[in-house]
Amino acid sequence: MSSCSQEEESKSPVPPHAEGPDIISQLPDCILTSILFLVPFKDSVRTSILSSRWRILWKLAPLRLDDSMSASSSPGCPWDDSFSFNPWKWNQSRDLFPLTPIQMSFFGQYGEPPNSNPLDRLYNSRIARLSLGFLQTVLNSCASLKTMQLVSCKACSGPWHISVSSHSLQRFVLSYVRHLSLKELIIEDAPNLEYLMLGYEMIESCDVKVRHATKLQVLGFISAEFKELQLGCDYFVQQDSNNHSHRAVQGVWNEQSSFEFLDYYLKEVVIQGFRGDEPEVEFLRFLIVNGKILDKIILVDPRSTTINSKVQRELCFHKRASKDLELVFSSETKCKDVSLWKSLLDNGFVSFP
Amino acid sequence: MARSSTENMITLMSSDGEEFMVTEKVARECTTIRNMLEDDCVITNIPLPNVTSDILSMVIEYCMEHVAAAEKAAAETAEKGSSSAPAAAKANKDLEEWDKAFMNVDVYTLCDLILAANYLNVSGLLDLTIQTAANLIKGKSPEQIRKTFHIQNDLSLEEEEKIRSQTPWAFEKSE
Repeated sequence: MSSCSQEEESKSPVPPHAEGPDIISQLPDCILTSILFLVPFKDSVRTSILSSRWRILWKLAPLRLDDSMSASSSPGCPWDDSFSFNPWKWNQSRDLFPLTPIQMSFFGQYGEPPNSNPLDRLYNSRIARLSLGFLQTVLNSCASLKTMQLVSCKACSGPWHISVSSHSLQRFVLSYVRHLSLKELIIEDAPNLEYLMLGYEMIESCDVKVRHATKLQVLGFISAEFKELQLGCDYFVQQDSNNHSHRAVQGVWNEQSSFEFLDYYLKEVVIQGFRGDEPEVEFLRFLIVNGKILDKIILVDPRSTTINSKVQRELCFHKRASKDLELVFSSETKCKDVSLWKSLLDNGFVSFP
Repeated sequence: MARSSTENMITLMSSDGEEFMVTEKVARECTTIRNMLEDDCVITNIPLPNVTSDILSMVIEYCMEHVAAAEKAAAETAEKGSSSAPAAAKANKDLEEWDKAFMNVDVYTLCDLILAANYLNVSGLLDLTIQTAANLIKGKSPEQIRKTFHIQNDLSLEEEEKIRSQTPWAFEKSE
């Protein structure tokens, strides 16, 4: 703010009368946008027709998603509940999104993360409810959006089918979004996506399909709760979709054939709370025997104090597909040595059940 | 509270050459001046070529009121060992009322105050003036806003119609 400089001198000699000088329009952009930031969004958009000076100012102001907007029942509110399943009006004019946010986060209880630049980050914890249309539009039409984090906020209820096509998105985090029942998440085309983190509660009976994300480095959490997990051309299908047990269905891994991502992509697997029971051992054995370029499997905080020799034998480590494979038993603190996980854990973006 | 006679006085000079003697403490409310003082501690005379005398006197009035309120609160805390919550709440409310009355100005003065607060970097006054301007826009029709601020509409009817059609939902009547 202090760096603003006055754009031009005011026409002060004109005496103030009914048709006085238009002083407010001569204030610098940064001041006018600060004013518009304090005005309800709809009112701010309406200033676009005041004069040519005001035409794009509202687009320069940091976007404020305000309780009072969603609380009013006016049909024009883009994030009103009633818009959840209708195409949001802004869909029709994609370039109209008022900002080109780089980072967009909705946090409930964590508060504003540090180092936030209001212009880079659209942040509001007070938004009443997040609608699918809003999220979908932002994900797919903000050409500069790099981060989308939805943590501990509220969503409009109903089945959500999220489809992501974004050339800029690098990080997508969904965790503890209340009322959200995620039925399907398709990463259609996200060539720069590096992180895809879903909270445990998100993935219950959810289909996750990663079709094109060549830079994906971290995908979590994988759980037996996935109805279907598709990575490129590879499918893991829950054999018995009626099974709601928290354990993987026994035998499922033995029946899977090899996978392209195991042959070419998967380098590291982290398993939290390894218990060493049959389905887990089976899954681990599957990874060991098939992961051709696997470097490391980290078992974080194993629940059983010692992984006994029987389990170790069953893992068939001698049959490992990658000769560089290392099996690491780690306490939770050691897990933080894994840099990507460290940042996620440190920032509270993920938590373990 | 009696001011100690040794307290530094600073002279601020407005764009039209008027001089204002203020205590260093009051002058320090302006971050721009505080930075100058910290860079050069012997400076006592500061020209402010962007601020007219009538606006500068208002900025000083604001700073003095806020410094006095802060001093009073600090003195009360020192006297009683701890400030009583109701008294502090009342003092806050009084200051809010004072701010509100202080903002009873025409839009020209308001805009000039915004510029001065921005230039002198008085964050409290900048927040107050910007919020006041926002309140004048909130809930108003474009016509009302133009009238309030004397904004001259240089858009043709066609242009205006085109802008409206890009965000029709913003112009729909609510309630």
